[in-house]
Amino acid sequence: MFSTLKKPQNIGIIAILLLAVVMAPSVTSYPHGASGVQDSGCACHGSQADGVTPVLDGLPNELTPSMTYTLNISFTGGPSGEDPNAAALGGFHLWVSEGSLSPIDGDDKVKINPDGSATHNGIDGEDVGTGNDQTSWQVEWTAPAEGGAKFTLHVNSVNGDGIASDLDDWNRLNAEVGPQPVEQASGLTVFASSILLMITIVGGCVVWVFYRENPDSFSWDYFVPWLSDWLTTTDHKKVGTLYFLSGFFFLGVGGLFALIFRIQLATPGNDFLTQDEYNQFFTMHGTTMIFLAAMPMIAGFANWIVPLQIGAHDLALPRMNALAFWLNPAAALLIFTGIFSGQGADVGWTGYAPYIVSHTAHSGATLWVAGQILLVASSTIAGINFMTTFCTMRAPGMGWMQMPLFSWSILVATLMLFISIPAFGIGLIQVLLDRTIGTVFYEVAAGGDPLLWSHLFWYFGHPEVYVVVLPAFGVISEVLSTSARRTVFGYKSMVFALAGIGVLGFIVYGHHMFTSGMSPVLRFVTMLTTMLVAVPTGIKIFNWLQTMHGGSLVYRTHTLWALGFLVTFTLGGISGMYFPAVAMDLHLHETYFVVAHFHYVFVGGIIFGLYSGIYYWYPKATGRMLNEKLGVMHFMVGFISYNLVFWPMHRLGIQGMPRRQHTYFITTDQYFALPAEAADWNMMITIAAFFFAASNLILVYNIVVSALRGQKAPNDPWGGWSMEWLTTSPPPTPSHDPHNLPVLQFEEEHDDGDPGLFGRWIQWMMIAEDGGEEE
Amino acid sequence: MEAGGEIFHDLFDLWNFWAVIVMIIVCVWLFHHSLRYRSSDGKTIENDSDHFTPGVFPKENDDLRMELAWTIVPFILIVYLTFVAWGPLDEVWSADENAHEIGVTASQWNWNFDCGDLDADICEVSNIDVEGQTRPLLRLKAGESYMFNMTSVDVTHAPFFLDWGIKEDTVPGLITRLHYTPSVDEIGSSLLMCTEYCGKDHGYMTAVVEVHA
Repeated sequence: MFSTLKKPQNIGIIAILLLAVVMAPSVTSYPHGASGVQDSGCACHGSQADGVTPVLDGLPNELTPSMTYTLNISFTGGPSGEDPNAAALGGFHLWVSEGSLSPIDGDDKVKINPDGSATHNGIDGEDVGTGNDQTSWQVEWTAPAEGGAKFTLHVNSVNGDGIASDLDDWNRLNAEVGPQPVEQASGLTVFASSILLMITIVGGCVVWVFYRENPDSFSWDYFVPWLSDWLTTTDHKKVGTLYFLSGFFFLGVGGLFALIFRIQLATPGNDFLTQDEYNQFFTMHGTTMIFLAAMPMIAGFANWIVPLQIGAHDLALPRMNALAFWLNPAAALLIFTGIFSGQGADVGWTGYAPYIVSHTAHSGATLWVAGQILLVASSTIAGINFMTTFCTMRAPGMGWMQMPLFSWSILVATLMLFISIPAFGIGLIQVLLDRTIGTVFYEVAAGGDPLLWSHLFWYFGHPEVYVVVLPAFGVISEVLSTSARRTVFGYKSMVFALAGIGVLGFIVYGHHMFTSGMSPVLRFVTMLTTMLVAVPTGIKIFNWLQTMHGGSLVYRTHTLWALGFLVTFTLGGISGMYFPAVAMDLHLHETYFVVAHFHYVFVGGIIFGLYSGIYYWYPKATGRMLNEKLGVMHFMVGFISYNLVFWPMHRLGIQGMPRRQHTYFITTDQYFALPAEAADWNMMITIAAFFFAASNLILVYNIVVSALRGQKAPNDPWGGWSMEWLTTSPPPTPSHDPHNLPVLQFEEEHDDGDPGLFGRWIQWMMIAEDGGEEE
Repeated sequence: MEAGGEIFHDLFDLWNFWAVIVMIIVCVWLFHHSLRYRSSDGKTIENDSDHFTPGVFPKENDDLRMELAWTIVPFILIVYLTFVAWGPLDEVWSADENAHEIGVTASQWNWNFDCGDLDADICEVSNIDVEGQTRPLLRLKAGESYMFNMTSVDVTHAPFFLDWGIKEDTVPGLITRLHYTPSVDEIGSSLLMCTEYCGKDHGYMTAVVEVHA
């Protein structure tokens, strides 16, 4: 639609939208609205005049909670009383932020408005002697049970001609009583400063990178073209780099959140963070790590490696690819906006209804939801793009069953994401509408069902877990096979296991809801299906182990991470088998046992897998080798401290320490709670967490220093077979020559070069009859 | 006292037993293969039977019998564990018809127990101090069976009976149930916490449950 408009029309539309955004807050007349009663809540007539002096008497110096006070309201000055036969003398409007107002018994001169404010009774010019024929009034105010209150008083001095006209005057008085909340910096100031700071830091980094790329012929003239090339690029490698950098940045941000609330949990009864802050921090930690760190990093790997690996010159839809990426920074800004104003989302990454639509949830949750909707759009676009690429752009000779396993894992993952994420999008839009325009999807009083959100969320949320872990499986398959100099054991069963996990992932989500009030039949069914997940996962683990058989394992940093992954991921998989047993889950649900389990899968599985991938593909991407000594140091410190952080959490969970709680309770004489040792374990976890965070700095240092001074990398430094190793390091653009695409060769005779029944079926499903491919 | 009920600990011990066996198999396999089949100096390739070449799909490396073995054996283990986990469901989900009914109403951020017209010996609610805050104390009798009919007035909460190892969400507009018969081994007081995130004071939404003889 917009493409058909001319530029001035576009600017006009934007101007109208901006005006509407600016106007919108002052339209509301709620006392707590953005502009509030102080500005527009008084139906005063005439103009504001200094000559009119409002007086509010009867407020105490020391406020007694819940006590009732009699307030005297009066005014002097203005045109009031100048006419000896005045039809009316004046009026008032008193608004109070806390406590309640009521008229004195038998007093008909004052009335209480529906919003709780008080005003005079009667209409100008009528009934001499009623509420509007006064210059003073009395009203009772009952103080709140705790805290102080703010008063806003409007008085109107009326000339008595019986007409509400410009000849009258009014004025305003603000008063406060009792303890007031501490003055905070305006959210806008904090937000603006944060953005300025971020722009400065990011800008500095960008300029430094620009300088370092060509320090000898440095010239500002090339800066703008260089920058706009990065910002508008549709090349899969550059978009992949952008994805990866943003994901890596948010991995650091999410880690900082974790470190801060680990300090809070180091000792019982700590008050390092307020409860409000703690709730925001664990929410943002989860959201950041999954949606802004893990997903973009995986997308970065997929962007970089998939076209290279399947012998394509780029992704099928390069501009869609850039769009999918650029939705991410916008989403991140929205998600974090609440934090800058002190009202960040405090709903947990699961955002359970009805809390998320209740008035007790922070206002930042609205923008948190809006940001997630953008991420849903981004994932959907990326999903279309990758599936099209896999279906249409595999190199000549590469059937479905000859795709490298990393590509297979990305295919299954995007397919799962594409099928599951609409449910999440629907839920998010419902919540956004509930929070903004007052629909009642999750309003229980109006018949809304809180469990609907849980179903929509987990129908997406459980496949999402596999969406992020499957690419890590793919990386490990590539790395172990290359390092062991052996074809991955049981290639076909690996593919079927991936597909099996992809199917099972959709029918197990009920295990997140074993204690949610969901129907026992569904609980029972998902108990059976969840148990089954162990089978395909087991096949993969045993296949990886057997891959090393008869090989010649070359120990590199990526090999170490892959072996470490096998240990931690197996532990995470085994601890996952404790939950489907419903009777056991009743105890373990929402305790630290769950936290330990999913961190063993997310960190020990996904992050270790991605680290392995970084060390494996960094030479291909940059043309430089990473420093192996630093890499081994990163692995040693990281692997040990990681286990010290998350292993004790199993024990804490069994002892009954619940997650998402601001503190924890140790057994006293009065009652049994956590044993005293829980405090020691928590302190140890916090200390180890700092070591784990520090180990990642080694990786950052290694990446930066190796980019500047690393050894030049050959085309195939590790001796892998897949097609990315055919290209130079770093690969040219386009990645493979589109007019001379590589053709997959075969080491031995094979009889399945032509697509089988399944392959033909997918081909039929995905590609139109008339060929579909270009021209 | 120990967190978690008898059912939990029976299942937990059995699961631990199988977890240790699986973990030993994986670790022995991993260490044996990664050390036995390693390159002596990281450069020499002792066994390059598959000699990878970029752009060439390598030789197949599989053995259907082994793959079927580690599909079927874990499947049998899973079926066995599912069968074991199935058993206690009856005990967890079906209540005694003569159970004493106790109403539980959750609100931000308080528990409200309603004993109805039960004897004070069977069910009694009073107050207790938990870290400086006044919290409800629910006194129950060992050997009696109880049914908690639970709901919430605002958002979702979940009482976690620490000593018994059970919990269930309290959902606004819905009545959920928990059923338990505290045994004489469970005499004593234990903390009840909220385990469904419910806002600002979620971490302090506690109560104490006392079981007396």
